[in-house]
Amino acid sequence: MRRYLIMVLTFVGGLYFFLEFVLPEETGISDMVAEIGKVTLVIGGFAFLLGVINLLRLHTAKITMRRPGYHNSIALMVALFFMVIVHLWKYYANADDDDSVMRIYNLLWDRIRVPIDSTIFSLLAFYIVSAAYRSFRIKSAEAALMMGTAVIVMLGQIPMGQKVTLWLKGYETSPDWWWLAQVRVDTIREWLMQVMNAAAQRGIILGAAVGALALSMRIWLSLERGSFFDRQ
Amino acid sequence: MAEKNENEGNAWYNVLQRIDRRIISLVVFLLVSIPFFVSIPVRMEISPVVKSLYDKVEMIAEENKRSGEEKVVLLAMAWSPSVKAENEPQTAAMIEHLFRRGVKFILMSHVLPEGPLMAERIAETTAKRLGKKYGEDWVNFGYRRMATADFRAFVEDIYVMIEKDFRGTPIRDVPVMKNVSSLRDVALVFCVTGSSAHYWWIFYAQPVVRCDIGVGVTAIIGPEVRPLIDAGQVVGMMEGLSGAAQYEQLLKNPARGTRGMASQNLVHLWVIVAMALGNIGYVMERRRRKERMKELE
Repeated sequence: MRRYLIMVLTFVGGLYFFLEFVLPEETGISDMVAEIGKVTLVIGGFAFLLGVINLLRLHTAKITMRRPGYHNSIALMVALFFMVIVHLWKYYANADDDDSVMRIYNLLWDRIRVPIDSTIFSLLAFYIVSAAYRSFRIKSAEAALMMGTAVIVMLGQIPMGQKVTLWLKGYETSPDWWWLAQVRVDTIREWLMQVMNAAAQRGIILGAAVGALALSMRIWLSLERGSFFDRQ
Repeated sequence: MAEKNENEGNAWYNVLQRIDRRIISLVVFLLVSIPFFVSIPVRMEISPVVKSLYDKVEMIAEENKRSGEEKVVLLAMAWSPSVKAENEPQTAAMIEHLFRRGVKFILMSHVLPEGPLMAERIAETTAKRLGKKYGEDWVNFGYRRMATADFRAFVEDIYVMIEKDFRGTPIRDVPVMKNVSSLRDVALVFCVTGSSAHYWWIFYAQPVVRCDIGVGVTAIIGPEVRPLIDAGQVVGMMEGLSGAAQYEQLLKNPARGTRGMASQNLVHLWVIVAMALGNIGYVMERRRRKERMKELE
């Protein structure tokens, strides 16, 4: 019974949004979009709650059974509850900037959450430089082409790199030598990004879109494995 | 022979290929830090994609002045602290421009909860300097979690999905929203993101309300946006820190983007130098190997 209910709801939902997209506005089919949106908003709220409950179950089990890395689970639970409590306190107390709860909230947000997030991401810069040094070796003509392109894109992006060929800008209005202004590093970079890169990106996007279409059809027609909460 | 091989291993061209990654990272750290202590002048060539975004905002301001209408700009803040280095200067530059030109704007996010909070702080700081007021010059809807169907409903009717702003005021009572009955009254959606959140607006909003879309993205997402600019689906873009610095230059207001660009300037040069050193070592080693093969023959 559950299987058929899920199949019908998925199919009807998909069919509605498909028709809503293709049929003209005059048919009035779009009038229901806002109401359906409210329903999915509520479902989304439940999904959010479900996610938190799932997270708690998983980590509580890890802590009680002392599985490897359970310390991390404790840190996660403490951080989760502490942030939720402080936020609710701030919200219901209608706190001002001078209130102590606001100071705690700002400490958690400005001094812990933001720096941690930014720091972890910025570590990438160190890895990227190290990886570029190790991997960019001119072992073939293709590798040389790739490295040359990378150097032009990098130089074209930074002021010092742009400065190298900036003097060519003076030829822009010259009737015979105007083309020299087109071989500036920043102009070549722009061409590489807007023409060569865009062509490749378009191919990737098209391929991904065909894949997404096939996957959507499978989900819509309930052909995808796992559609009925069975084993994958 | 073994001794010779050992000496070969320590040859200068082999050393160039095996620079310790701790040394590479230390140089990166030093180069990033230098502009904090020494001022490095940054002058950028303006990219056409940045210029077209700037021109679009100028056009909205002129059009509002001419017609007496108050078309607003929607700033979709789909970014979090992890991409703060690039997305924050972009947001700050756009807010500065909108305030200066008297274009009212809406802040919101349906993707990440952090974005509107971070943007609100920028707006408050800039507003204090330029004498702008919350509610009259901008409004913040905050974070509203929306999946596809809800987002589609939001596009159809803003007021059904969002009733109050993040301070709890009904949005119908906020002066900024006086002339906004739907997304059709939004002159530009400017989506700032470190992911592909701009596709939400391109897939679900643009075909319905025909809104113009501009983006501020991290440098890694920039290449993905290029075909959309070519197709006219995106009017302009701030691409990474460089895009923010160029926008600041157009505003004649060097700020966070320009300062950050000074660091990026040096680190990019170091990447190129490091790559060159590695390749010099590689080419020399290959040449040496060939010579030894000949000797053995």
